[in-house]
Amino acid sequence: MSSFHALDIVKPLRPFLPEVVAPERKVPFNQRLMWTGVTLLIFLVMSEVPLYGITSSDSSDPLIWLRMMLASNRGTLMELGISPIVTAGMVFQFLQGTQILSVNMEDKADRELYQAAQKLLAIVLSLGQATVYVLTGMYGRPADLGTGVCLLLILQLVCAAVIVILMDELLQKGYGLGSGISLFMSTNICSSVFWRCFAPTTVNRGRGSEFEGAILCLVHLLLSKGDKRNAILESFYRDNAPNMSQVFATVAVFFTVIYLQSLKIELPIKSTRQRGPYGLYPVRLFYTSNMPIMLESALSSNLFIISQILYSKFSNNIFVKLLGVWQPTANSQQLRAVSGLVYYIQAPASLADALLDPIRTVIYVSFVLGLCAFFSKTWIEVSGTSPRDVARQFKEQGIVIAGHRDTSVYKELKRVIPTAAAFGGATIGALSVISDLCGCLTSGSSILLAVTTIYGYHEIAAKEGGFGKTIDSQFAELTS
Amino acid sequence: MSSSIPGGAKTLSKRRANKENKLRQQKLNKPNSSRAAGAGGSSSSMLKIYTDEADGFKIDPLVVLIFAVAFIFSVVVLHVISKLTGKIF
Repeated sequence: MSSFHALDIVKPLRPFLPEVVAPERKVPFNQRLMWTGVTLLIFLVMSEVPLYGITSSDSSDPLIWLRMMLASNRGTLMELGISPIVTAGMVFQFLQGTQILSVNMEDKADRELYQAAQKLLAIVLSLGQATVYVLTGMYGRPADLGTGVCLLLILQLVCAAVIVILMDELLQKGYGLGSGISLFMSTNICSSVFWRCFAPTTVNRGRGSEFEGAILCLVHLLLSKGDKRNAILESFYRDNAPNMSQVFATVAVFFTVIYLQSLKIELPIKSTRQRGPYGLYPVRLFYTSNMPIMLESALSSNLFIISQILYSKFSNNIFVKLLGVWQPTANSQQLRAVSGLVYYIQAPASLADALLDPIRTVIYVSFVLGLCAFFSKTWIEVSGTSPRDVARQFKEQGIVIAGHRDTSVYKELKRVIPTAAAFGGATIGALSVISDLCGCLTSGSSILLAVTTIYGYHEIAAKEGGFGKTIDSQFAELTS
Repeated sequence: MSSSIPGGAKTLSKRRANKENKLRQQKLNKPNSSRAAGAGGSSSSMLKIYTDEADGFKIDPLVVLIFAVAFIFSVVVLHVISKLTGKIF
């Protein structure tokens, strides 16, 4: 049957792939917290250390749409971020999902080979990406840099990528609390939010210098200005730097997401094998968590990048113009779409921007909501959480829904899960649109990504018995 | 008296038919995804890649951290050296 096993190609290379040793026994919670913290610290330091040998980086950033998704930072060691890991993971998921690569997940040897192949692809991809970044002149023309510096740049980027791969593996093998990738992503987002709150850099707009950070600016203006009312108004509504109303919008979105996370339907279940206690199977409103928003923003970022590249090469082509016309914004080098197809799927910059072009706003909102609901429904099929999968899992474990016959488990799940997934996807899309329109400190999708990830971590921690209480019981205490 | 003997040809064919039916049913009910159910639907399951032990060359997690710190340190040293030589020459 297996005439040709594609994964066997990796076999001779296996001894050369680095591999973190799995812990022999379960690591205690406090130690896992410590490993996670140290790894995060290293990641953060790496995303602040500039690369050695770059000369220029003040042009428009072509990858700005992907920076959030890839936890990358321009001109630093984390230039590639987690993109090699994510890309390799996606490629293999796709190959496996379409049955091009036949992997028997029950077989341990197969699973190991699959992992090794994935890691190998990630390393090869990072090498390729680094070479392309350096040779396309992102850090200055290669001829000016010299061969030695070019090679050094590639070496730095690949080394950083290997370190990230290893750190992610370390966290997943049981030393940390969960997946490293989503942790790195949300750390990047959180640090940018904090930077916008407390940035000590100053901006000057003709009336003396002001702090760039919103909260710092509020305090500074309150202390230094005689007219307190004016000071507060100015710090709430300045438009050239982060202001206090954005901070409050972000906090409001944060609390809304936390509240919505706790909404769920609990199906009463009981075991057919052991008589006795009932259990509850929760189906959350955010059944697919942050997946739809991640897929949506990945899709639109890719569209933006393709359109931008096409426009910079063939700006006179009619089809390219139909796809999108790009112009720099008023006070920076950064490009924004001003007309064409991608203009309609780009988030409005502010509420005023949304009101000025209502047709665009309507198209944008329906696009995001529809796409999120669709992705959410598709994702449950792919990720093994569809009603059919869950019903099979119930059957294997001998669980039935209390008050139903065992044949109607699937029917009951089919009634609940797809609706929860589609509605949850649309809700999370709506949240992202609202936070974009309110003008939060970062894009709505990044806030959602960060909050849902951290909530997931908190849930894991609560389940491990780390904090003693779950978030739900804390909420119950608050409300009672 | 019934003519069918337990375990006879009729029973065998019945069993075979049952088995085929069951297999077909299983194939029909087989989910599209290849992963195990009950992943919880959160993205952490998608991004979970390395969960098993494979036999590459093994490194201790502490070595990873030391490697990372050494790497950062060497890049910083490169920066400092280039600054110093720029000052001197």
